[in-house]
Amino acid sequence: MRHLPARLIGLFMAAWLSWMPDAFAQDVTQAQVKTALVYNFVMYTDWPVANWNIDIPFSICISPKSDLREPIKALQEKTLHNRRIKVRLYTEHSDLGACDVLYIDSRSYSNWTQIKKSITGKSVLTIAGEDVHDSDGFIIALFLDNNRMAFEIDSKAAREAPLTISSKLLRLARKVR
Amino acid sequence: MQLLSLAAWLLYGSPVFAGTVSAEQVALLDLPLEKLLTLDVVTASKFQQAASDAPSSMTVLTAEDIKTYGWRTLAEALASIRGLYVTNDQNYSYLGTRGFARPGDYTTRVLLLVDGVRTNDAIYDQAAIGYDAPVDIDLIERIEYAAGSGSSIYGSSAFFGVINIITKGAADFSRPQASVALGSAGERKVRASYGFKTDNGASFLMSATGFRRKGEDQYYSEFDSPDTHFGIAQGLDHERNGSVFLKAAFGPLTASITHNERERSIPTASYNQLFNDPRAKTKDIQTVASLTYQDKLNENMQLLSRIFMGQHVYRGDYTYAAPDYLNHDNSKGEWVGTEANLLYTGWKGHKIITGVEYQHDHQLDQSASNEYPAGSLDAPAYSDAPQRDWILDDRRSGSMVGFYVQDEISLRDDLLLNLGLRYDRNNYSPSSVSPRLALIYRPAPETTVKAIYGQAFRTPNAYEMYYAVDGLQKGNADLKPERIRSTELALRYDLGKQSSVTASIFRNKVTDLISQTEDPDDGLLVFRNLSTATAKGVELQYEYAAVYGMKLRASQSWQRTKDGETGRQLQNSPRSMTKLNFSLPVWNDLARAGMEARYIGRRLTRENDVSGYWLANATLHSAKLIDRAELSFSIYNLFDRHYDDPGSAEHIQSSLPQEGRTFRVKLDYHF
Repeated sequence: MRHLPARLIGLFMAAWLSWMPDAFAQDVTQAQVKTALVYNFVMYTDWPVANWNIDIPFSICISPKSDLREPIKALQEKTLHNRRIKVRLYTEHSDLGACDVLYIDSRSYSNWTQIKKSITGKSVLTIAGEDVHDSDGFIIALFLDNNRMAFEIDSKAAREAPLTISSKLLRLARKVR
Repeated sequence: MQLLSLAAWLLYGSPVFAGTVSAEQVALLDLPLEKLLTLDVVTASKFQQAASDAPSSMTVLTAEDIKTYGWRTLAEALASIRGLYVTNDQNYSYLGTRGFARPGDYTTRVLLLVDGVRTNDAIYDQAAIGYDAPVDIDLIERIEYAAGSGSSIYGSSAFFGVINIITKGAADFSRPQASVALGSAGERKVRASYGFKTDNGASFLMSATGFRRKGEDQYYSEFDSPDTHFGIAQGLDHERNGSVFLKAAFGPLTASITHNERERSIPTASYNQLFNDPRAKTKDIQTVASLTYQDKLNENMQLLSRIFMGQHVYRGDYTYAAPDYLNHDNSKGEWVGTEANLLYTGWKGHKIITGVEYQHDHQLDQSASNEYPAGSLDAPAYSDAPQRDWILDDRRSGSMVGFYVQDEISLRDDLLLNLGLRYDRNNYSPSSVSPRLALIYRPAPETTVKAIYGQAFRTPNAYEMYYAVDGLQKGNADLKPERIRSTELALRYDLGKQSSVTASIFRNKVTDLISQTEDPDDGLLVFRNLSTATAKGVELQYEYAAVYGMKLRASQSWQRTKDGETGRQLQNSPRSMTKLNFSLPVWNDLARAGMEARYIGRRLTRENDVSGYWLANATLHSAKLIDRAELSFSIYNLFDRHYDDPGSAEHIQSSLPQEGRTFRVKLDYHF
């Protein structure tokens, strides 16, 4: 076969350029995708009816140092079954049992055993933000796989909370233990 | 207690202040969960920034590219990069760069690093890019290729370019993975990988690979006669390989070991061997171990220090007629070394890196012997028992030391000046000074202009200096390092966030080129600092990448090379190359299709030429079809094109036919 002339290559490129998809053509950061995932986790999880009080905001707790601090503000414009969503910053003194969702970054993993103890028996959806070995009692653990976010679910920890994880989440999880 | 906590909560646990929320984030919240899981995210790595500031033209290939295009070896991945091309002589694969691929060059003029550790062996200086490469391609996170002279930082062999392989980490295999691949010509590959972290934060990765390929019968018209099996080399395309990769990281410390063993039959009867003799084969075994400490000493200082050691064992079995003897060509190189560098950013507007590297090659042994059967008439003396006649037993050692400094100076907000200088000396050839000067100008955020000038060198290796066998080849202890001066002007222009155009013009001038030649006085082969050679050319590349969706990389390069002696174009030097890599999601994102096509122009051979060829490969890869598994199907040489690579001095064939259409299926399973 003869060598393609440069003109043809130019045409070829122009053809591709003309049908480039433009949705989300810009770069999305990990924190942005994680935030959207947290929102989805919340939507596809059921909290016990007894704990559901429309008068109190639904609390998503993150560390003040979390990389989700900026993007997660977007969730405050949403409601969850008529409950307002509030994002709260926790410190080591906070009563984490008051959180409905507790999102923990890897830099706080060292305190995890302690945190886990403090919320035993409370219906708190615990989410590990980064790769954590043996999800270690987190109900949902996020991790990065080939530049894409993925997650696994610890159904035993969910049952103990007790929280009901929808089948949709269970189906999309990479691993359910 | 509860009360106290509540008080603390009121004090500290304030709701996040309301603020502006990006429209992008709002849109992401409305995206279906399935879609979110397919978005490519930008990691915290500053590499992109680094690449545009780098004092060379950089290309980065990722693990995803490797899966998308079904690349089986480093050679296949590198062949997609602009300006690079691979020559396969059915024994080893060699890399050509910007028009330079000297017949008989074992890829000695490109430096291959794995996580920053030099892997070119101590005797032949070879960068192994086929199945003999230091790590399994499945363990590669990223391949960075920096074109041009890199000696100002890396010293010898960073002549035409530097390949740095960044390996995956324990986290990539936190669930054990098993991989099986089956392909045409009896190709089979299995791999098992596992990574874990301990409670104290240490992480470990271990992986082992086994590969075997039966190969196909090869036909060479040059041997088409009744005496030589009508030109058919039967069952001599066999290749097998085993490799192990171990990596441990704890805080600022990283230890790693790469081990690779690879055996390949030789179907070409190179070096005047008997044709179609099943005993002809080469075996290469390489192990490299390193321990690296990298840490921030204070706000302005970062230290990297490393110790490393390596061993390369080569065993070649060559078969000869009349009636029958076996030549064993063996070598063993062992080296240990250390390096340290310090990055200092405390002086405003400067980024200074200074370092020292020392390597001691304590064993550089080359030997050759002929093994004669009992009663052979060809043996030097008659014997009733099989006997071995040693024709080479050369034992050496050597050492080298290098010092370097580089300063990246911000002259203005839009102007960077990168100055580098390295001094190298060793105990067997003259010392070398390698400067590099790069000016990086960014007149607008989307435009980067780089002007680069650099000098690099390659020291003659033990094989070129000391390999001597009576009646065939003699050594040359007076060899000097060969040198290159390279100049490049590169322009990168970003068209929005997803696409970019890169253009570069370059000129390389090599002096004292180490070439194998025949001494007219005695007819023996010898390496000499013979010729000069120049290459000049133009490269154009267009890249497009949507966050999800289509990806395209298209490049065209033209280069002209000239042998300073004859004034002719160099052998094995295509004047034109085209590369197209294109991928897109298919079946509603269930899989990704990757297609690549490349054109390599006509190349001169020893006697005439091999014609230009188009080659296309296609791969379909899915991580969703089967739960917890990744499945891929590839077709190589999709249109079953016939094409040849030039043979080199050791081949009777001036051109070597290459493989036709082949298939491969691969399954990676995460437990």
